[in-house]
Amino acid sequence: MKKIIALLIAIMMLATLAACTKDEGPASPSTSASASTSPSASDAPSASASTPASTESSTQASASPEGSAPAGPTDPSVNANSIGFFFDDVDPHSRRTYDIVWAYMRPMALFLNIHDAMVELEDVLNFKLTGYCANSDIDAMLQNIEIFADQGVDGYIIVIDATANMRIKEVLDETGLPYIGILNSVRDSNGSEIVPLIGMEGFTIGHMMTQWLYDNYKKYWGDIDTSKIGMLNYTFSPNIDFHERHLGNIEKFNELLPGNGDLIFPADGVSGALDEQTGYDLASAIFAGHPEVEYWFVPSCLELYAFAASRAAETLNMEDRVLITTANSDVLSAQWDNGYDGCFVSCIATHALQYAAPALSGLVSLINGTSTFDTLWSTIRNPRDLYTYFEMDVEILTIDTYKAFFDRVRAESGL
Amino acid sequence: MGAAERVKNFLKSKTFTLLCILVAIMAFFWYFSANHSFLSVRNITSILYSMVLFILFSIGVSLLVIFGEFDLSPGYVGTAAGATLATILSGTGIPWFLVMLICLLLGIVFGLINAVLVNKFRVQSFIATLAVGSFLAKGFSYIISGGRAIAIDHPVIDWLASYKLWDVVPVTVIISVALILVYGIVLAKTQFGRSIYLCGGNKEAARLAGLDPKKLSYLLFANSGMLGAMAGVLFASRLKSGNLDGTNSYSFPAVTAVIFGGISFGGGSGNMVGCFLGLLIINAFNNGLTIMRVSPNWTGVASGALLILALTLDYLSNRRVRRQIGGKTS
Amino acid sequence: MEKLLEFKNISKAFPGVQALDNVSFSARGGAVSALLGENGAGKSTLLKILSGDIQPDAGSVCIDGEDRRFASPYQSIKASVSVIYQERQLLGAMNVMENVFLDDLHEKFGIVNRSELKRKTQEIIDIFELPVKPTDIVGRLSVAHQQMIEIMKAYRRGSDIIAFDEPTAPLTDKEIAILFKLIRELKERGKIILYVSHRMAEIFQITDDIIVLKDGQLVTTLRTSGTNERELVKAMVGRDIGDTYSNLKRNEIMGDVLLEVKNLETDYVHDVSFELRRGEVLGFAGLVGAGRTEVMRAVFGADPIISGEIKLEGKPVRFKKPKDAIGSGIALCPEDRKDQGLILGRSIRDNVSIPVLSKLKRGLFMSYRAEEALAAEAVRKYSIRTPSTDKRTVELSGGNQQKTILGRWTSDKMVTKVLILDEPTKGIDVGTKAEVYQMIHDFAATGIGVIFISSELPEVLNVSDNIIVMQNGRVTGRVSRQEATEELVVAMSMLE
Repeated sequence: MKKIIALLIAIMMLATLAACTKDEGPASPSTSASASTSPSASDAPSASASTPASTESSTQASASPEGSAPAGPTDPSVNANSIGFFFDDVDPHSRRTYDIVWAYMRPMALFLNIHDAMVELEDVLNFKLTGYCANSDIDAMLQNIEIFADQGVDGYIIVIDATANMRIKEVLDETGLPYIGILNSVRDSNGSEIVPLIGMEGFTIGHMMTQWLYDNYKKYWGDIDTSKIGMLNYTFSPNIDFHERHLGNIEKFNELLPGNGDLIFPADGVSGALDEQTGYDLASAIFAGHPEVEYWFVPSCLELYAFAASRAAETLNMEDRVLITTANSDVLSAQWDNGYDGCFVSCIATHALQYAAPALSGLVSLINGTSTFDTLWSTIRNPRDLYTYFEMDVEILTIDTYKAFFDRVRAESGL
Repeated sequence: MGAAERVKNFLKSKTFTLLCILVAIMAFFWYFSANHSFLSVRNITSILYSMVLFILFSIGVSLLVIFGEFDLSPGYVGTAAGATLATILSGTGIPWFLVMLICLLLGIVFGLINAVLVNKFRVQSFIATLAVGSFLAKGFSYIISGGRAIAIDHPVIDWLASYKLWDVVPVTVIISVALILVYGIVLAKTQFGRSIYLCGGNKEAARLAGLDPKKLSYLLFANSGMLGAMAGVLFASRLKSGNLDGTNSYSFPAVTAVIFGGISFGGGSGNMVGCFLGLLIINAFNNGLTIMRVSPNWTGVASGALLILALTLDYLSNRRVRRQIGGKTS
Repeated sequence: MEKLLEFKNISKAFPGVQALDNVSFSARGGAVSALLGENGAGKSTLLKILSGDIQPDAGSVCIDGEDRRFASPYQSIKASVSVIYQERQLLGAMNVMENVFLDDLHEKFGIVNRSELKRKTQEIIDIFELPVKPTDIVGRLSVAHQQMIEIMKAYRRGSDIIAFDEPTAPLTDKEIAILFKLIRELKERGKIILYVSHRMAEIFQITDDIIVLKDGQLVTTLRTSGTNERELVKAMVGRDIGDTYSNLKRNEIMGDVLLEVKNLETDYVHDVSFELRRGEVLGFAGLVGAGRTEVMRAVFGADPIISGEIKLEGKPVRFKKPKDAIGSGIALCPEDRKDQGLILGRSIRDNVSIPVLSKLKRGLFMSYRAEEALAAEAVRKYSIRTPSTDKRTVELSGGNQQKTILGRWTSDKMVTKVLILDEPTKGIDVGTKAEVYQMIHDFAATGIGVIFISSELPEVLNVSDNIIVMQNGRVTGRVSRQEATEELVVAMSMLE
C-alpha cells in the first residue's frame, strides 16, 4: 500500500515538474525536416541600407520592434563599433524555430541577465532558448554538451570555463554544431583566439579602467599629492581574461604614475575562490597592511571583488580614500537604482543585450549557413587571431551616465 | 526459506522501493521526452557516463559507511590524483602506467592517513576525513601543480577519455560498472564482505568474537582513497587537464547517493545494489531534467524533492521494522 | 479508607508474543506487593501499562474503584502513580531540590523561589533521614543516593502508588538496608508499593504479598508469610527443580595443567596468578569491580598486558588481540552479552559463525549451507527457542542470547580449549540457569577447562571445582569446593 502511495507521490512530483518546464511541454520540435531554408538573398537591400558610417549606433532604423526583424544594415563593418548586430537578409520567421542552448558554469548575475536578454530576443530572431547551468561541474558541462547534441539542438552560446577550455572546445567541435563563446577567450600556444568570441579584451579593459581613475580622481579627492596614490590590483590568475585586465592595469598605471610602481599591490583570488569573501579578505589585508598608501585606485577585474573591496573600505573607514571601478557590472546598476553612493563609483557597464544580441545573431547566421567560423565578423578580426574576438563597445559609466547608456542599448537592439 | 517467502521479503526491501522509483522515473521521462529519446541508447550511455565518477567514489564510501565510518575525502583525493597525473605525465618522461600507479598509491597514502587518524588518534572519521581531504589533499593538489591547471596531452589518456567499445560504450563506463559488480559480490558473498557488516553492527563484539576491525579499517580507508584517486585520474583524462577544483565537490553527493541507496549511517546494513540504484536514479533524474529543458532555477529544487522523497520512503518502510522490535514508531 | 490498586483482565500482545494474558490481581495500600516471575513473565509490561507508557489491548487498571486509562506517563503521574525504573530518570546536571520539584518549581512570574524549594526538600530529607543535601548535584551522587532522590520525587508528588523495578541490582548491602527502611516508611504512610524482583531473599525480607507470573499469566498470589522459597520457585518455573545443585552431574576427571597465569600485571590487576586444569571448572568470586573480568580480558588479548607470564599447554603465549587467542583455543563469553557478546542486529546464524568464517567457505564465497548447518546444530544442541536461525538476536530472550554465544564457541568447527564465562547467568531465569550449570560440566567433561566468573555466591560455590577470590585487582584467596563456605568467600572478597 505504501509503495503505491510512494509511486503516486513520485508521479505527481514529476508532473508538477513538467508543468514548470517550457510551455511547449511534451511535444518538442526535433521534427523532421524543414532544413533551414537557404537564405533567399533578397536583392533589395533593406530599407536603411544607406547608413551613416558614423560610429554611433547604426541601427537608427529604430525599426519596428517585435514582429519583423528590424531592417538592419547588411554591411557588417558598420556595426563594428556599435553594440553589434549582424543581420542576414533572411526573415527569421520564414524558417523553422532554432533550438539554442545558453550554457554557463555558475549562476552569476551576469549570466542570468544574459539569459533574460536572450529570451527577450526569442521572438525577434525566432529561436527557442534553453538555459543550462553546470554549477561549477566541468564534467557535467562536457556531458551535457553531448547530451544536448544528441537531442538535436542547433547551436550553443557558451561561457567556456578557463581551466578546461581546450577540452570543452574539443567536445564542442566533436558535436559538429556551431557555437559562440562569451567572455572567456580560448587561445592557442601562440596567443591566437581559436573560438569566435564576444567579450572585452583584457588589456583594453585594464587600460580603460586605470585611465578613467586617473582622469577622474580629482573629482572625488581634490588636488592631492599623486605620489601617495597606490593600487589594489585584483586578478584571478587561472582565468586569462581576468589576468590580462590585471596586467593592463599595471601597464597603464606605470605609464601614468611612473614613480608609484612599488605602490601596486596584486591580489590574486586563486588563493581562495571567485567569491566575495576571498575578495574581502584580500582587500582588508592589503588596505590595513599598507598605511603608506593614502589613496587607493582599485580597478577590479571582477564585480564581486569590487564589492568586496568596497565593504573592506567601509569596515576600515577608508571610503573617502578609495576609488573602485570594475569591468562588467550587473549588480552595481541595480544598486545605483537603489541609491547606492559609496566608493565603488563606476564600472564598465555592460548591458546583457550587448552580449546577447551579437551572440545570437552571430549564431543564427552560423546555423543557417550564411557564415562560417572563418567568415563571421572577419572584417573586424585581429590579424593574430584565427577566429574573431568581437570586442564589445564599452564605456565607463557612473551613477550619472548609466541610464542613458542602457536606454540606448535597448533601442539599438530593436526592443 | 522457501521461494514464496523470498519473493515476499524482496518486495518489502529497500531495493524494491528503489527499483520502483527508478521505473517510475524512466517511464515518466520516456513518455515526455522528445521522440522518447530518454531511453535511446545514446542517452542511456550518457546517463551511465555521468555516473562513472560517482560510482567509484560511492563504492569506497559505501564500504566504509557499512563498516561504521565516514569518508568525506575521496573527492579531494581525486583532485590531488588528477593534478599529480597532469604534472608528472606532462613534466617527465615516466611511462604512463607507472604514473597511474603513483596516483593510485597517492590515494592509498591519503587513505592510510585517514586510518591512522581514526584508529590511533581516535578522531571521528567525519572530521578526520574532512580535514585530510579539504586541507591535506587539496593543498597537495596546489603544491604539486604549482597552482595551475596543467594540460594533459597523451595518447593513452585520450584513449581512456574517448574510446568507446563498439563505438557506443565508453571505456570508463565499463571500468566502473565492472568495479561495482565485483565489489558488490565481494561485499555480499565473501568472508571479507561479511566481516565488514559484522564490524559495522558492533565493532567491539566483532573484535571479541575473533575479527580484526583495526586491520579492516585500514584496508577500507586505503581502498576508498585508491578508488578516489582512480576517479580523479579518469576525471583529469576527461578534461585533459589537472583541474584544481576537480572532483572536490563530489564528496558530499557521493555520501548522499550512499544514503539514498539505503545504507544507513549507523552501519551494518545496506548493499551495493541499493547504492547503484540510488546513483542511477539521481543521474537519470538529472538527465531527464536537462532533456526536458527544465530551467536551471528549478533543477536544484527538483533534485532536493527527489532526495526528500527517497528519505521519506525509507522512513516509512522502516516503521514496519521498528514496530517489530517493539519500539515506538513515531 | 484503604487504597486499592486493581489490575483487571489485562492483556497485551506484541508481534509474535502474548506478553500478558488476562492477568488480574490487586495490591492494597500499606503493603508491599511483590511481582515475581522469570524473564519474559510480563512484569515489566505490567509496570509499563501502569505508568501509561503502553496501553493494554484489553482490561483495565482500577484505582480506588475507578477505572483509569493512562495514555501517557504524564497522566499516570497526575493520577498519583510513580514508577521507579532501573534506569535513572533524573537530570544529572541539576541538584537535588531541582530534581525533586521538577514539575512544580514554585515559580512566581517565572522566577523560581529557591529558598522555598530548599526548605521543602530538606523537610523530605528529614522525614526519611537521608544522607543528602538539597544542593548536591545529582550527577555526582552514587546510584543508591540517586535512587533515593527518585523516591523523594515520588513522595513529593504525593503518589499513592509507587512501583520499584529491580531496585537492588546496583546497591550494596548497606544501601539495600536503607532502601528497605525507606520502603517501610512509605508503607507505614499507607502507600501501595509494588516491588518487582528476582531475588528471593529480598522478597522474604520486605514484602507482604507475592504475585507470581509466568509466561504472561497469573500463576498465583500468596502471602509472603505463608510460603517458602521452594514453593515460589516451583510456581515460577512450573516444575520442581529440586535442588539445582544436587542434580548437577559433575565432571570428576581432571587432567594436566592447561592454562597457567603468573604475576599478571595490567592497568587494573596486580600480581595475579592461577592455574587451570583440563576438565576443571574454576570459579572466580568477588565483588563487582574486583578485577575478574579484567584478568580474563587480558588473558584473552582484549586488553593490553603490562607484564606477567601466560602459558597455554605449557607453551608461553602473549595475545595481542582476541583473534589470536581464539586461534589458540581460548574463548570468552563477555559479561555484557548485548553490547560485547552479540551483534544484535544480525541473525543467530551470523553470530554463531563469526570466529570460524574462514572455515565455512566454498571456494571464494561463503557457503550458506555450511553456515546454516553450523547454526542449526547450535540451536539443537542448546535448545535455543527460535523458529529459525534467521532470527535477529536482538529479539531473543537473555537465556537464548547466552546460548547463542555458547554455541559460537562450541561448534564443531571451533577448537576450544579454554572457555571463559563471565557472569553467564546474569538476567537469566531459574530454569535456564540450571541448564547452563549442566552445560558447564558437560564442557568440562570433554576436556575443556572452564573459567566461571560469577557474583552470585551460591552459584559459584556450588558449580565450581575450585574457587579463586579476588578483591581490588588482586587474588586474595584460593579454596576448593569442599573447603569453601559462603562466609569464607565473603571474607576474602571484602576484608583486608
